[in-house]
Amino acid sequence: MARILIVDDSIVSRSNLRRILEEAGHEVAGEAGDGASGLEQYGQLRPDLVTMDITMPGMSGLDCLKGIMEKDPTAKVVMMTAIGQGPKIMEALESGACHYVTKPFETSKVVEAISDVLCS
Amino acid sequence: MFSHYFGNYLLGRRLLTPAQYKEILASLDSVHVKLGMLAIESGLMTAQQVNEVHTLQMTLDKRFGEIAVERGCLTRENLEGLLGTQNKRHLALSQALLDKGWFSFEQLEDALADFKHETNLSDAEIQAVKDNDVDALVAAYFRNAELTAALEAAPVEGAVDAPARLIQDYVALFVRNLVRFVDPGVVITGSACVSSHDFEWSVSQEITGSVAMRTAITGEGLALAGMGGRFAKMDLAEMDAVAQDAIGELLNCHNGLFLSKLSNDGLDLDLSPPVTHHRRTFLSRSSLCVISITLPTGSFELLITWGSPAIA
Repeated sequence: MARILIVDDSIVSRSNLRRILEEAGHEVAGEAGDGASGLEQYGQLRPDLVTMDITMPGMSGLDCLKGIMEKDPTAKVVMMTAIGQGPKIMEALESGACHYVTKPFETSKVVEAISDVLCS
Repeated sequence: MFSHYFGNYLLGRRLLTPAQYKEILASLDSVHVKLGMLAIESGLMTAQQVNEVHTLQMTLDKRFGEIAVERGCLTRENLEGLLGTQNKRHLALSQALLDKGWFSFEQLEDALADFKHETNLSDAEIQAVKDNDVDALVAAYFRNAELTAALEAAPVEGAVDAPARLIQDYVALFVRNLVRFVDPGVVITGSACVSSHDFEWSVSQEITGSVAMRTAITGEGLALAGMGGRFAKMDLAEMDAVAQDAIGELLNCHNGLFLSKLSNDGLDLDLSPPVTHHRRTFLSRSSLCVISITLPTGSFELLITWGSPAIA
């Protein structure tokens, strides 16, 4: 079981992710609706893993990822993205993201990605 | 798809009441047979193989049969045989109307003839509806020369060889995603090119990068909340923050799949967060392409335009 922080501006996505993570036996340590709040909560909660949406108003998921990696280079971040390919995914992986999952979420893909990252 | 088109027509002509249509749709759902199930039942694929193909379908814009053939689960002949069985599903609504005693054979024959005449679809296009051929069906709504000319003439911000074709592909993928993520009862009821579009609610999203587009879902609150609820698997009765978010996520997921496809063609594109507006008007110097769509949860419009239209 891991303590996980969800960063996503979508209420529906956060709700789906919470359900998937809790059913898989994880604890949702916190939820953030934008990058700035995600960065702040990461410092306060120090979760085992972060699920990070890329497209958010204000501070984007990529900028939040970079901020987290600056604070904690060992942070484990899984990106959540609607676009399954392209330069933003590459940038996220080069910036320290461990994995990515495409929307709409499929339970098995989310659980597998998180399990892979936690075991690595 | 044919059952929903025909049912929607009967509803519009008051040959079915909303309660009867709802009852019929419920009975169709209970006998809906998908290709995967047919493949298992015929012994051509195992349940595990079907699950694997379904999983791939979530990330690839391909039909079940295409993936199954590519992976060697089915031969082309197997697939054609299964499709031949599946295509008979278009008879489901007609049979249900007869079984319930709401229509006689003669009444049904007349209604079908009127439907074919009044929809302005050719025999080939009607067959496309029966075959669930979304690409051919959507193409029928783009054969309007005025619409195509307006889309081709619109100033495109970016490198697009065939603007009308790109929008046609966008609409076809949207319809497939509605079937996949919301409800199989998708009925396209019209297409137009306009310079302004009034709406009660709009959730829109910008596509940026080598092509600049704005896409939007517009409509009345109740219809959009119902559609958002189906997508989010939540009971949503009004266009509150959750319903707005659900429509935004639906549009975001669809646009993400569209952009992933374009990325394979070398187009570098990105998405802005979805934005909601209430009781406003889209205005554009270039044309706004408006596709009218009906679902069992209500009617709405899909709007696509180049660049960023003004919102007054």
